[in-house]
Amino acid sequence: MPAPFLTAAVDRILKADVAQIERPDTIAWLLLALRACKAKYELVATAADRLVRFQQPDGALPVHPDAPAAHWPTAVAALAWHGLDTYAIRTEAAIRFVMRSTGMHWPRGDDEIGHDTSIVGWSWVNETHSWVEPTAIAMLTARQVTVPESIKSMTSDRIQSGVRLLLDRQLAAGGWNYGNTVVFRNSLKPLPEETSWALAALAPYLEREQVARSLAYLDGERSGIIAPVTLSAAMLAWSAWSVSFDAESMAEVSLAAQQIGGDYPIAMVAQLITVVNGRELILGNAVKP
Amino acid sequence: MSNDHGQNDSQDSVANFDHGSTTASRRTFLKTAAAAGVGGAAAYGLSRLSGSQREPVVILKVADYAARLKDDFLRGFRELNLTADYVGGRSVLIKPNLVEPHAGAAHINVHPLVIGAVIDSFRSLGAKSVIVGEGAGHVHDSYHVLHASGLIDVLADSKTQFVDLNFADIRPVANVNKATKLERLLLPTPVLDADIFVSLAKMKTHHWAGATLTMKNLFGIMPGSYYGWPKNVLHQNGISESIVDINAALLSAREGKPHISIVDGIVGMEGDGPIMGTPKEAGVLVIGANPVATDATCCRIMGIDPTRVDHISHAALNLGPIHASRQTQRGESIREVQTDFELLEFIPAHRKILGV
Repeated sequence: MPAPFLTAAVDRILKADVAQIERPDTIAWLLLALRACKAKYELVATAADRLVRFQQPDGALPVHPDAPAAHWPTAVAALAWHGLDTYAIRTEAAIRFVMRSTGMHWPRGDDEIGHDTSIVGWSWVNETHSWVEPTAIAMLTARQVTVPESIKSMTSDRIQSGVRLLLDRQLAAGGWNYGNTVVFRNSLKPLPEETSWALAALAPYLEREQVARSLAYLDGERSGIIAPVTLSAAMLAWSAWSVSFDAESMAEVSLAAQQIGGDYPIAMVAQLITVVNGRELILGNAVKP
Repeated sequence: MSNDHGQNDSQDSVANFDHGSTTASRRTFLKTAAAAGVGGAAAYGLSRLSGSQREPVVILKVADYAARLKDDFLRGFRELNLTADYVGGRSVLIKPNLVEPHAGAAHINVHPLVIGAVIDSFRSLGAKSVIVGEGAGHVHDSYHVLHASGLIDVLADSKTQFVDLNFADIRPVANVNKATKLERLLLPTPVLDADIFVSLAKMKTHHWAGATLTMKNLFGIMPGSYYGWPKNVLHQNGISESIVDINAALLSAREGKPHISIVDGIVGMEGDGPIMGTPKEAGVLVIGANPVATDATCCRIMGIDPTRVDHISHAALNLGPIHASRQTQRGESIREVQTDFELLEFIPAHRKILGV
C-alpha cells in the first residue's frame, strides 16, 4: 500500500540538518530514526557526532547548558548511540549517569497522596520526584544498552525498584498517568502515552494478568491515538506485549494529520519513524510471547 | 465574600495598566512605555496604580458555548478599549489552559470554541498574527492534547499555528519577585516576544492553589523540558510562590507589553479541581487587562474571598489590585452572576478559604 506521508517523513529525517539543531533529545531521536531507516553511515555518524557535543563530563546530556539539572535526554542518547562501536565510551558514560541518577524519594506518610513516595525511580529533572515516563525509559535503556560490569548489580537493583515503582503507580482501574494515583481521595485518570511507556518497560518482568486492565485501557484508546509521540509509545507497548497493530497504517494516519494541524516538530516525527521502522533499537528482544 | 461596587465608572479611561512590581519599577515602566510610543493615544502598556485609577474587569453573561462568542469577546474588548487601533498590526499569542483531555470531561480545559472565538476576535481587530501556545503540564505530548480535546479542528479551521511551549526556545529571565529560591526562570521566546499575550484560563477550584485562574494558568508557559512533567521544579519551590514569581517575571520581562487575562467560566469546575472536580455552570466570560484584578473578580464570582487565596493575595502586593474598591466592574455586576463554587473541607487550601 502506498504510504506517501510516511515516505515524506522518512525523507524529512534523511534530509535533516543536525548542525542546526541545538537540542540533544531531538538529535538522539533523529539518530535513532536514521538507524531505523538504515541510512548511510555518514548520516548516522554526523548525527552521533553532533550528539557528542552535548555530553557533559559527568556523562549527562542536559536539555540546555542553562539547565544542567534537566538531564532526561541522557537515557535516549544512550539508546541512540548503543551499538555504534565508535561511541561506546559515550554510551557507557551516559548509562553510568542514568544509573547514578535517582528521583527524590521520602518516607511514605502523606495521606493526601496515594502512591508510595519512598520507592526510587527516575525523574525528569534533578532533585525532583520520580515519575512514570522517565522511569520507564531508563528501564528500557538499562535493559537494552551494554551496562559496564562494575554497575551490573546496581543496575539490576535499580530495574527491580523501577518495576515496583511502576506497579505502585498503576491506577486501580488500569493505566498510568504521569505518576499520581490518588490525590485528595480521588483516583486520577490514565493517559495513553504514559500508560504505553510503563507497559513497554514492564513487559520483560511481569505476567499479562498483572497489567491486564492497563492493556485493556490502551486498547480502548486505540482509535483516539493520533499524535506521533503518543502513537509511537503505544506501538512500543503493543509490540512488547505482542498485541497486533498495523504500524505503517497507523503512522500514515498520524502523519496525514499534519495537513490539518501543520508539520509536527522533527523530534516527534523521528520518534515515530524510529518505532515504525526500528523498534528493536528500543525494545531489543523485550517482547512478550 | 468581598464587597464590590458593581458599577461602571465612565471616568476610568482604561487605557493604561501597570505591570510594575515596586514603585521604582513602575516609574521605570512608565518611562519605557512612553519611549516605546506604544499604541498611539490609547497606550496599552502600563498604568499608574495611583489612588484614582481603578483596574477595569469586564464580566459578560454567556449562557452556553453555542452563543455568538466572538461578538461577546469583541464587546468585552471594547469595554477595555482594546480596539483595532491598538491590536492592528500586532502579534498575539493566546495561552489556553489545556491540562488533560478526557472524554466526557470537557470542563477540565478551556472550551475549544472559546479559544476559536478569541482567535477570531483578535483577527477581526487586525492582528498581524495570532498563534496558540501551550505547555501541557501533565501530558508530555501536547499534540495528543490538541487532538483529544478537539482543539486541532478549531486551529485547522482558523488556520492558526500552534506552538508547543514545552519544547520552545527559551530565554532566561530574572526572578524579580523572589518568593521562591529560583534565581531565574526560563521563559519561552514566543511568549516573551508576542506583542500581546493572552492568558486564557478556565474558572476552576484547585486542590493545592485554592483556585486556578489566569495567574495559575501561567504554569503552562514553563517548559516541561526544564521543569518536568508535571512541573515538579515549581511544585517543590512552592506552588503559590511559583505562580507569583512567574507572573512577575513575565510582566517584567515583557516590559509593559499588553497582558490580557480571560477566563472561560461558562462551565467551570468546582470541588476537587483542577481535574477531578465537577462541572459548574457559572455562565460568564471574564476579561481584564490586569491578572490580579481579573482573578480577584473571578474569585468573587465563585464565592471565594481572593485574599484567602495565597497566590492572589501575594500577587496583590506588587502586581495589581485585589480589592473591589480598586477595580471597576464593567458589563455585569458580580451580584448578578455570583454563584458559589463548592469547596471541600478535607482539602487544606479550601479550608483556608472557608475559614474552618
